[in-house]
Amino acid sequence: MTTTTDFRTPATAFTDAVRAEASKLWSLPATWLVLGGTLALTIVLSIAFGTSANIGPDQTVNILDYGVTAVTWTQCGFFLLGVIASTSEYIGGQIRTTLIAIPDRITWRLAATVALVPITFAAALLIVATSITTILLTTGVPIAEADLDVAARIIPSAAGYLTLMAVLSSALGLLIRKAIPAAAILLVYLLILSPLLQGQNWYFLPDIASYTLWFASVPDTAPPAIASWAVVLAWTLGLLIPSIIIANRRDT
Amino acid sequence: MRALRAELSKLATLPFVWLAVAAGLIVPTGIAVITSLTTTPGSDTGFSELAIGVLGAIILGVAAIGSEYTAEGEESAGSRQITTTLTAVPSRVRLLLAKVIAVAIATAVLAVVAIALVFATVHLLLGPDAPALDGDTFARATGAVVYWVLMALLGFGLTVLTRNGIIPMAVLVANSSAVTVTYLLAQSIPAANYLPDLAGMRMFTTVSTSVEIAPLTGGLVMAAWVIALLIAAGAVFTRRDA
Repeated sequence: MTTTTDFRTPATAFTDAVRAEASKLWSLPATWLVLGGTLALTIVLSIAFGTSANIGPDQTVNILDYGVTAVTWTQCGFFLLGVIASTSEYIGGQIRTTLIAIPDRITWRLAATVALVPITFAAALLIVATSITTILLTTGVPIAEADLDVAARIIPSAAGYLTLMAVLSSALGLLIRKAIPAAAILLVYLLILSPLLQGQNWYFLPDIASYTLWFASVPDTAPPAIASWAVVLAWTLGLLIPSIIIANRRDT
Repeated sequence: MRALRAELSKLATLPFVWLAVAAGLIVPTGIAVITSLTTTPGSDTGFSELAIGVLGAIILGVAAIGSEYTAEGEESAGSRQITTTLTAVPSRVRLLLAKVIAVAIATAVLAVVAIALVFATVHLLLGPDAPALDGDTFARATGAVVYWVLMALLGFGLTVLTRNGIIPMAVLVANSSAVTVTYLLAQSIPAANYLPDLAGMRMFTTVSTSVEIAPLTGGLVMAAWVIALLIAAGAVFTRRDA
């Protein structure tokens, strides 16, 4: 009798886990509904802002500031994406199958996070660039007038921030294990509390810190970029690490 | 009556409903503290806070039916609570009515407590500058209660149709936030003033747009929207498989 032994090294096992998680995310209809809806809403809002912006030749505001305004609202889509990515495991007990396939919880969570990052980053680049393009088209400002160096700074910064927020949301979703409550917490913060706190310059909050990174005009009181990134990253890790530790300890 | 008691008991025991209640109480009170300390009191003092605090009512309405359709519990194994609910109360119309009444009662109680908290806060912090507790204020406070109940039923009705609370909740909460999409729409399209939330807001705030609507008319317009939505939700709910 011959036996076959699994020769997978830890590295290939991890790659397989990432591939499995990416395949789940990729094949989840909700992923594409949320990303498609976010893109559509970004375009609609940008058109609305663009037509009401009143941009004249003596404009003092940077056109790129208008370009990313829609994303401050539609960033909700990335929070929802993160929540769905982790809570979809708990629909219909899929989590049991997942844990049989990937018994090591830490591997599982790291693989899920690694799988989430590229999809989110690519989608975020596309959505932020679309938002800016839509504003340029609706206001009729020629692309030559937009500061391309600044655009090259804000588009990847926004995409990086949105990616980290999707990771944060996915960690929160894993902690709560239910999509609607997790989404409710994030939406109430993002849509109600954060706009109200806007005037307070509380740069220790992740979104308020990030606005100093992906708006063309940076307020005078803003901390240096590296400090803002540290704030955003600290919030992300502050939820990601406890979520992995707790996932490692509990039953499902 | 027993169906109603069952629905009220579900609402009272869902952890997520308590989150909605907490949001509905803490958010407007917190905002009242901030606005009382930082802005000069105007005709909408105490009321504009309630226009944002309505998110508690929205979440409650969404949770009341959304919780029936989730299959996320640890032991749910893919089944949804709605199947058990419909086994217990087979009449779809009676079930939906019981839920609507339960949501209305719970939201009305939440709204009354929230209004009491907000006005206590405003009076404590502003003293004589706070709006006087006269007949006009009470009429507007009643309008705010009606608005909260109708918004909760709006979220409820939409979630009956979608069977998933995330999108109705996201849309309605976003719309009740600091910058409302319908308000922006109303700047360019006069007809948008007759959308349910903008029309209903006339009952208790002095929101001014291009179209003037009397408080009572506004309330009736919003109620008409909600009734139409609930009839549509009822028609769909009685005809489809759970």
